[in-house]
Amino acid sequence: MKKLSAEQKARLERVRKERERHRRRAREPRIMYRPGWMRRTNQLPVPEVLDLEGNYEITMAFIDEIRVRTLKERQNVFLDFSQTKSIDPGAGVVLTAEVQRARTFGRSRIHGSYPKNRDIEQFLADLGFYQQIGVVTRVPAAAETDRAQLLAIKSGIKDQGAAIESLRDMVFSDVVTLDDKAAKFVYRALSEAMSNVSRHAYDPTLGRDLPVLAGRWWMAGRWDRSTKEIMAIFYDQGVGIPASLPMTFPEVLKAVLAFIGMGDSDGPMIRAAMEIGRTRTGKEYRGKGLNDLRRVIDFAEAGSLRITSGRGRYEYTGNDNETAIDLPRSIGGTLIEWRISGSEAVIWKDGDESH
Amino acid sequence: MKVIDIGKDFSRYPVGRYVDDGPYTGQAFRQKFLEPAFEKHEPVKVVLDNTAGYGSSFLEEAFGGLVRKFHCSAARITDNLELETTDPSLRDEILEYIREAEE
Repeated sequence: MKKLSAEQKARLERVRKERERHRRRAREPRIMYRPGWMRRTNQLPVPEVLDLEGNYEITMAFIDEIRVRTLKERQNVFLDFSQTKSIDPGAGVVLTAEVQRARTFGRSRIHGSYPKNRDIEQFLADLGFYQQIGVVTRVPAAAETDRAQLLAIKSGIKDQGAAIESLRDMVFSDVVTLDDKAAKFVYRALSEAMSNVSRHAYDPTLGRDLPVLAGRWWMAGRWDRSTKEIMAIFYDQGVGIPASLPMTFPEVLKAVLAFIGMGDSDGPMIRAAMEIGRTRTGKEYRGKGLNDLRRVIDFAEAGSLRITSGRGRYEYTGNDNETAIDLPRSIGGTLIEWRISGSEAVIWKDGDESH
Repeated sequence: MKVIDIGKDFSRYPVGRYVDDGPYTGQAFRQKFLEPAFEKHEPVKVVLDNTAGYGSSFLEEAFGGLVRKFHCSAARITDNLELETTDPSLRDEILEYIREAEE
């Protein structure tokens, strides 16, 4: 074997060091904004209001645009937050998950500007948006106030009860707590949401037109003393309840849909899933988990459960009050939001108790 | 009588149904603790209170799964099972899963 010359050895060493430098930089959180890079990318303005309740169509049109550009067209994308004034927590979780997916399957690159609005930047920092996507956070974590607190996203795969407990410990802190029984209902609801992801959400037999972070879920929480509201959010990028339900309960679905009398579009399908969780299906050992999502609302006697899955939305406000509607666009997974407001099961500390 | 405290002997955070979904699922608990005891016809007391909570999937697979595993009657299970908890609704829920698994 021919020996390398000193010059060849030096060149190999330079290449080795350069590769090591690139690998190290890839591991480090990056600054979000690079002027030179921006010229080579497609700018995508983030809407003024990201809100999956009050501004669903525009919010999801934006999310869909990220998906198309990064996952289908393999374009670089620059998220321009300069005009963004408001982000709802649920929308923030969906956005974080989407950017994480784009970066994971990143033959395309996704980057962006820090928001001009400092409240929005603080919100994204508190949500853990920057941390989840490996970007430097410019603002420190907000000092815990006694007014409101947004709790950072936790993300994982498979069932992780400890993650639920740590989120619950964050939500229920020095300012607010739950009574013991209510705490167990919250754990029940979140653990069943997590189990549904493991079992059904990413069913490989159901075709997908986009790559997914298989088995992954995202979870976040929030409390607000001024409105006496606590909130928990759970999201996955799976096939959605309307798509998985016919595979899971083929034999009873038709009868349940006929019973509820609402057709078989996505909204009624979520409603049917909840009905299957309540009634006898012939395979008693399955299907009860979705009913667990509602039980915390029944126990708290104040609040709502909202499930947005596929192109459907289901809302439950207790005492068997429920609605189901169809949406103009798919959310691309399942988003579950629990809000509890003004409940005696929630104890606000420092003498300002709700009961 | 064999005493099993789920929170202390298994996990404070039980979650999920099948072993494929994680290490602290209903199937994992049943296989590790309940099945060996029932195979020996040993009465079992299960202490339920020392966990963060339970989902339906965990409870149904852990306890209802015993009926499916041993292809037996619900009575065969409940005659040898004591459930210790301060929450009677939790006991009732588990017994219902055992009964329904027989049908």
